[in-house]
Amino acid sequence: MSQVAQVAAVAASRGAPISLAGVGKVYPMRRGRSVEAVRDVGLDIAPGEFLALLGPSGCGKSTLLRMMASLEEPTSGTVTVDGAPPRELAARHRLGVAFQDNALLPWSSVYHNLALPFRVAHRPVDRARIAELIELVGLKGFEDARPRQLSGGMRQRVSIARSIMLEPDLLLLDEPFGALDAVTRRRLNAELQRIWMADPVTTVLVTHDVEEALLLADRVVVLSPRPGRISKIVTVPFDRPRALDVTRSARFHAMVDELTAELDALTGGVDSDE
Amino acid sequence: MTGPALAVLGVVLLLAAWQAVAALRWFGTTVCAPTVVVRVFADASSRRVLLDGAGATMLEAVEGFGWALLAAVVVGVLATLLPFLRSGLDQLGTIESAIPFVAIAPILLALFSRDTVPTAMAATTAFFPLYLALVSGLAAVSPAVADLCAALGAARRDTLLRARIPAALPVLTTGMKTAIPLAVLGGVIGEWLGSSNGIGPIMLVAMRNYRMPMMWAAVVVTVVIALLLYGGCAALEWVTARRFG
Ligand SMILES: Nc1ncnc2c1ncn2[C@@H]1O[C@H](COP(=O)(O)OP(=O)(O)O)[C@@H](O)[C@H]1O
Ligand SMILES: [Mg+2]
Repeated sequence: MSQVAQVAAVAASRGAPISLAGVGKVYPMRRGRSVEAVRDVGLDIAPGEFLALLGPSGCGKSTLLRMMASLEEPTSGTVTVDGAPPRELAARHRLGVAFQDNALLPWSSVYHNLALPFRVAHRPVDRARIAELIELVGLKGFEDARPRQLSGGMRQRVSIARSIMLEPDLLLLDEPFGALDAVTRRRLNAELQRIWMADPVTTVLVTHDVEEALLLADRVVVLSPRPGRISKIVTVPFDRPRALDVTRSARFHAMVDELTAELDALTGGVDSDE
Repeated sequence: MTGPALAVLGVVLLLAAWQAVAALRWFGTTVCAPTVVVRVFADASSRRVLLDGAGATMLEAVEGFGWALLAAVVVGVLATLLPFLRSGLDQLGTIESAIPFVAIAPILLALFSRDTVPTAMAATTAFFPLYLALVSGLAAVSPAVADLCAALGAARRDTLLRARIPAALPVLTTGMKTAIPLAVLGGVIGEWLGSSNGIGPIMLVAMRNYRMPMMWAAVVVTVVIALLLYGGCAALEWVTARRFG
C-alpha cells in the first residue's frame, strides 16, 4: 500500500448510522408495578461517529445501548440502525459488543474465544486476523490461556478484540473498563483510542467516567437520572490522538469540570441508584 | 483430621455399630454381624453367585442409566430449543417422577419381558433427576454470554452448541452423580418383579429360605455397586468441572 493510500485508509471512517426517535422503555415488574428506565430520547448518530453516553448509574445508559443491540425492545418510539431494526444488523453478524462483564467463555482459550464470532457467523476462522488482534491488544503468548488465568484488564482486552473481530459496522461498548482500577483503565482507554483510530467505525460507549468520555468520544450525551432523558450534548473539540498534551490542557480540564458539575447537578449531589 | 481419615473412621464406626446390633440380638437373628457376612464372601460358590448377580445388576443399572441419559438429552434439548414445550415437559417429568414403583411396575411388566424390566425400571427412576440437571444446566449459561451470542447474531442451535451445552456439562455430571444410585435401586426393584438375573433374585431366595448371611451379603454387594458407579460419576464430575467450570 502506498503512503498516501495508507493515510487515506486511516482517515476513512465507516459504519452504520443510528437513529433514536421518541424512545422510551418501561420494564414491567412484579405485582403490576413497572420501572420507567428511559423516556423520550431522540438522537442521531452519524456513520463513523464515536458517541459517549454519560450519566449516573441507574439512569438507563445500558437500557439505551441494549435497545441498539436488539437485546431489548423499546416500549415507545423507534430505534433504527442503518435504517432498519437493530435485529437485522445483529443477524448479519455486523454488530460488535463488549460489556463490563467480559462475557468470555470460561471453558475456552483466548484463541477460541476470539474465534467465536467466526463460528457463529458460519465463516471460516481467520487465524491471521485473530493473530493480528491478539498482537494489537498486546496478548501475544496468551493464546492458549483460559480467562481465569488472565487479569481483569487482559480479559477486557480479549473482549475488545472479540468485539472488532469481524470488522463490525457498529461497535457497542457498555462500561467495558468499569471494573478495572484507574491506572489499567487509562491504559486501556489509550489502547481503545488507538484501535478505534485504525478503523473508525460507528461506536457507542456507555460510561460514568467523565474523562473516559472526553478522551474517546466525538460527542458526549449526558443523561438525567431515571427515567433517563438527554440533558446535555457536548461536542468534544480535541484532535486525535488525544494524549497527555490534551488531557493536561486547561481546555480539557474545563470540560471535565463542566460535565462533572452537570452530573452533580443532575444527581443533586446524592447517589441516584436507589 | 483429613477427609479420607474421617471417611475411614465413619466406616469403622458404622461397622462397629452393625456388629454391636447383631451381637446384642436387638432384631433377633435377622441381623447378621459383619463378621458373619465376611464368611459368605470367603466361600467360593457363594462368592461366584454374588459376583455373577452383581455383574448382571450393574449392567442393568448402567444400561438403564444410559437410556435415561439419552432420553433426558433429547427431551432437555427439545425443551430448550422449543421454549413453548418447556413447561409441559417439566410437568410430565414431575408426574413421571411422582409415580410410585408399585404403579410403574405393571406398566413396565406389560411393556417389557421380565428380564428387561430391571433395565427399564432403572431408566425410569434415573430419568427425572437427569432431565432436571440437563435443563437447569442448559439455562446456567451467564446472562452476559447469552446476550453476547444474541448480539453476534448466533442462531439458537449455535448458542446451544457453543455456550449452553458446555455450560451444562458440569451441572449434568453432578446430576449423574445423584441419579446413578437411583438407577441401581430401580434395577434391583425391577429384578424383584420376576427377573432371573442379578442381585435382586438372590436377595429374594435368601429371604425365603431364611439364609440371612446370604441376604446381608447381597445387600452389601448392592451398596458396593452403587458406590462404585457413584465414584465413577464423581470422577467424571471432577473432570468436567475442571474443563468446563
Ligand atoms: N431487565 C430489567 N428489569 C427491570 N428493571 C430494569 C431492567 N434493566 C434495568 N432496569 C432498571 O432500569 C433502570 C436503568 O437501568 P440501566 O439501563 O441498567 O442503567 P445504567 O446502565 O445507566 O446504570 C434501573 O433503575 C434498573 O434498575
Ligand atoms: Mg449499566
